[in-house]
Amino acid sequence: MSFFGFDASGAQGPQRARGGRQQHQQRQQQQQHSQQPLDFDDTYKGYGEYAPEEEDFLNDETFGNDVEVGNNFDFGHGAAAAAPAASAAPGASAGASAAPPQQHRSYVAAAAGGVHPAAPVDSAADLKPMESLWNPAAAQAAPPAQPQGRVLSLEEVERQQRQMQQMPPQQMPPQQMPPQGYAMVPQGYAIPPQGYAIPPQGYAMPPQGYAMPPQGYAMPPQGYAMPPQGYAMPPQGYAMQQMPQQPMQQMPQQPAVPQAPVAQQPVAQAPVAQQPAAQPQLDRSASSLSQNSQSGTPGPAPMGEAELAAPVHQQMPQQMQQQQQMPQQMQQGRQRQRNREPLTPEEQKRLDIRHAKVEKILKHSGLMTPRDKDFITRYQLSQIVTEDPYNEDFYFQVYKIIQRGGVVGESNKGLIARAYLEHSGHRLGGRYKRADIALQRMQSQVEKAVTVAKERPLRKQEKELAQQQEQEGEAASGAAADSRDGVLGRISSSLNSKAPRRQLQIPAANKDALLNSLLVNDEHHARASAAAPDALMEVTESLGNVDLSQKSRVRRRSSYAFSSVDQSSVMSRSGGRKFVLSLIETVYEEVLELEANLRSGKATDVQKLWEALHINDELYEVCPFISMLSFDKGIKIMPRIFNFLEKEQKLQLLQTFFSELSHLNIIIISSYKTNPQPSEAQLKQIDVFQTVFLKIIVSFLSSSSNFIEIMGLLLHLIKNNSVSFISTSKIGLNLITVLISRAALIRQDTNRSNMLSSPEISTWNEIYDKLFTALESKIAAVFPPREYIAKVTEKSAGSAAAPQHYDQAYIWQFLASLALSGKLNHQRIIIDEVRDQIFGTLAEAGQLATAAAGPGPDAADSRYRRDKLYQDLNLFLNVMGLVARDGEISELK
Amino acid sequence: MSNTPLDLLKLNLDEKVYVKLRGARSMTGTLQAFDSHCNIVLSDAVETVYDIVDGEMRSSERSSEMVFVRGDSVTLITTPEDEE
Amino acid sequence: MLFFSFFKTLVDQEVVVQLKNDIELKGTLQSVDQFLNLKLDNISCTDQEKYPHLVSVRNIFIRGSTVRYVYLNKNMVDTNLLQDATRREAMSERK
Repeated sequence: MSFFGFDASGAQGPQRARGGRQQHQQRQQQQQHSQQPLDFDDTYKGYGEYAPEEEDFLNDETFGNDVEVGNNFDFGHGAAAAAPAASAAPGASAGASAAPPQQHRSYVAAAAGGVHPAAPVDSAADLKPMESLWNPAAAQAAPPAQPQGRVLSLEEVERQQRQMQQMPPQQMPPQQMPPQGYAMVPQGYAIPPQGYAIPPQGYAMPPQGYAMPPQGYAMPPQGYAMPPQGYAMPPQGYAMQQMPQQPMQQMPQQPAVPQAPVAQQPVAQAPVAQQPAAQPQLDRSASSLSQNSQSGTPGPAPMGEAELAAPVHQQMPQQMQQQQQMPQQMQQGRQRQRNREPLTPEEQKRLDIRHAKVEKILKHSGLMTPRDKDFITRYQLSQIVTEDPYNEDFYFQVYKIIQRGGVVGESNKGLIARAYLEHSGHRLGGRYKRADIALQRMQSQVEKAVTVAKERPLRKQEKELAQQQEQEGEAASGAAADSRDGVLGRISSSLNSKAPRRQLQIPAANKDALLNSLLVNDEHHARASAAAPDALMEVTESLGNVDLSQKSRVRRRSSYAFSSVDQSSVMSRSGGRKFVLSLIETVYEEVLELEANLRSGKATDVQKLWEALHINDELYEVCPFISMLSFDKGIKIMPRIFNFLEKEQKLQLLQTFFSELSHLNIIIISSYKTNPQPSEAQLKQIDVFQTVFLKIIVSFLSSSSNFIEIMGLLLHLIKNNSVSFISTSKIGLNLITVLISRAALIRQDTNRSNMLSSPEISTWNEIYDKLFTALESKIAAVFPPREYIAKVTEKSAGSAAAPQHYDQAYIWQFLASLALSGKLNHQRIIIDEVRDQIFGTLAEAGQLATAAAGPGPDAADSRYRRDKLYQDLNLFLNVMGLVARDGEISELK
Repeated sequence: MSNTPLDLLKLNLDEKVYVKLRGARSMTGTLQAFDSHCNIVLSDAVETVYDIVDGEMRSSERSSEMVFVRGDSVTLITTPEDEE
Repeated sequence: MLFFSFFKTLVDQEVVVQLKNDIELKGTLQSVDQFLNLKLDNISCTDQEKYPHLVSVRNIFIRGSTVRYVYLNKNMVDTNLLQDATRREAMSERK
């Protein structure tokens, strides 16, 4: 019961639970007589016919007018509400069920019935409580003549309602709280109260209703006319109405003997009364309660108990009769009460307290039977628990595993989630979660190559000289000495006047080493020639392949380079934004499906995925795959794609990638030329690309590709793109570095084991020359201008606590790799072109050294930065057998 | 790829979207999740509430790094102009 | 089920719920059901001057349909996983 008759507390529940049970049993009896199917119209009957709006008059009852409500004014279960609640309970239930008795079937009852459909009917048990309810009334003064079985016309009902409205609210203290059923079942409710006020008509209604609470009220006016077969004891029931007074009733005195409200009322009864819907017991105790609270009469408990023992057949009629009398009795009681003194505040208070107590204890007791609870529980579980948590509760299951570190979980769920993690390369790479892992790997690759070169700087260089000599027919040792002189001499001479101490010493040529290297080279060459035919074919084949694919993309190249810097134009040339996005989502779907198959042990067919990638799509000017990489999600899915692709497919994918590098959005936004003012979001995107895609490439190159494949990729890059443009972008430079440093490592490794064929080497030299030619005279352009550095530093400063400094390590790594693969003349050119940067870095390091020497919090930072600068610079210088230290460049020992 | 409205919405996963909401509100942010009720999760979202004060339209903004928007408030979802 | 699953991962996290009547409540998410009804604990009203009647409320049940926004922190959400979960949901609904 609550405001406006809406029952938010679910107080109908008890009635349904208990009443339902009872009804069920009754029904079973009834059904033995008539097996009528449920009919919607019958079920619905009564609803909405009477708009509840007119019943605002109940507000007075709800909130009280001059009625003492005490402190514990409780909308849901207040003591003051008990009586009306009780009287309305049937109405409420009628509202809920609103069906002819034999047809009514509450859900709970149905559920219970479903569980044990053949429950034996114990009608005595069912009916006793109702009987007790009406006991007090039965002994009351004779009710006025009863219009038996008369069906109220609509007009009559309305008249009653009008009369009701005219009634001063204070005349109906017990109804301060209109029962919850009221609004829902206007008629059902309307009649009973009238019964109190206007005995004759109203009187007619309650009997049935009370006798068979839910059903009776279900069809107030009409219900009256309902065929009697619905009732457990139809004839008697009706007969009873005609026999108002039954001798059995010993309660007439009750109203006349006011007592302390709380007095004898058995606790067990009172509390139930507060649940308006709890059928029989409720009705009984409610009536007694109402008497208690309003007229101060003792509860009918003894009577009820006495009747419990009485034979059912006798009880029924009595009960019916009592019900009829009940309203009247109550009304009389009330009138008497009005005449007499009302409850003292103290009494009222005690009453309230008591009710509150009982209320607490039994608030929801009996609301549901254990079976009901079980039913509900199982139903709820069926809603929540799923047999397939991986699909139904995917996010939660996997999230929890991730939170726990992906290790715990012996359960099936844990395994499922872990399988997802392993297959999905989740978080940009499964177990490798460190963001900078790709860059680290690239750096270590370069460092490794440099270290190898450092260990035998002369041998390597001179060996290369020897190679050069052999292949180009130049004079070996003389040229070597010259070029070395040239490289270092120029540096020193250019700086002589300004900074004499920076003069560089020419490392003495080691004749022995030279000889050795020649010897080694001879041997190597001999072996290589033996293997030549096969290898040569292989190389030619693979490079021919490159040339072929290059031709096929001539069309694309025509529209190249700087005309394509606009992302949207690139996008439109590969099918448009929406098309590319839909491709990405298709790819995701395929990958998710493949992952699911992998998990469940089914075969994985990558064909559909491969098609979705559109690698070989020649339909568009720019390969759609390249445009997919313009989106973060397109980049992020790559590691998971690589989990499934065959090696051949990966290679093809990378070939396409390197061929169309100039179209790659990430190159465009990471180049200071095309995007001099990168936004924060773009810098983030660059970061994502580095951590995700670069890592794939590095691991692919280092784990599964051979020298020829790397050369092929490099050739794709060089032939199809403007290398000088790509080298102005950080990502582009990274990509080139990855390729040439990997190639250098392979050459070093294979040099040791003499695996490279001479055609391979000569091809490499050719490719390297191409690369170098493209870069020559523009090498210094790999260093972004000061303004760009300032911009990037400023943008990324917000993200980290410490002041950010533009990390140029990637540039020195590139230069080191470039120098590593080049010959002496290449190295000389490189040094020449970036000389200013070398000494600029030295100068900066010197300044930092000064700052680092001083006190202050910045000293540590300065020291770190100084060391970092030297470290980066030396990576490059070491390749040439030099080292920068304390502001000076000296020969590497 | 079939083309139900929700499939179109899926294209914008992990992309910036503009969401119009009941009560003179709108929001932009990166679409992280949605379901068939148009419940959505946006990251780096900026909500704009429009209000008319003395006949003049004013708007106030509020940003949040991650927000769940209940579907029954959503009236439309589209791509912000600058992304087209 | 996606958002039910999603909110389950937010249990015990502090969230800010804005209701459709502009009331905003900060509290620890205690539980959620499939209707996205929420139970918040240790709540505090972010605008107590405007809604003084909520000052003394400590925990609250919020009917899901009255929610407008739930503000979260970034670190509570695994966005990649969430996007995957969304795709899976969309795929399963289409089938």
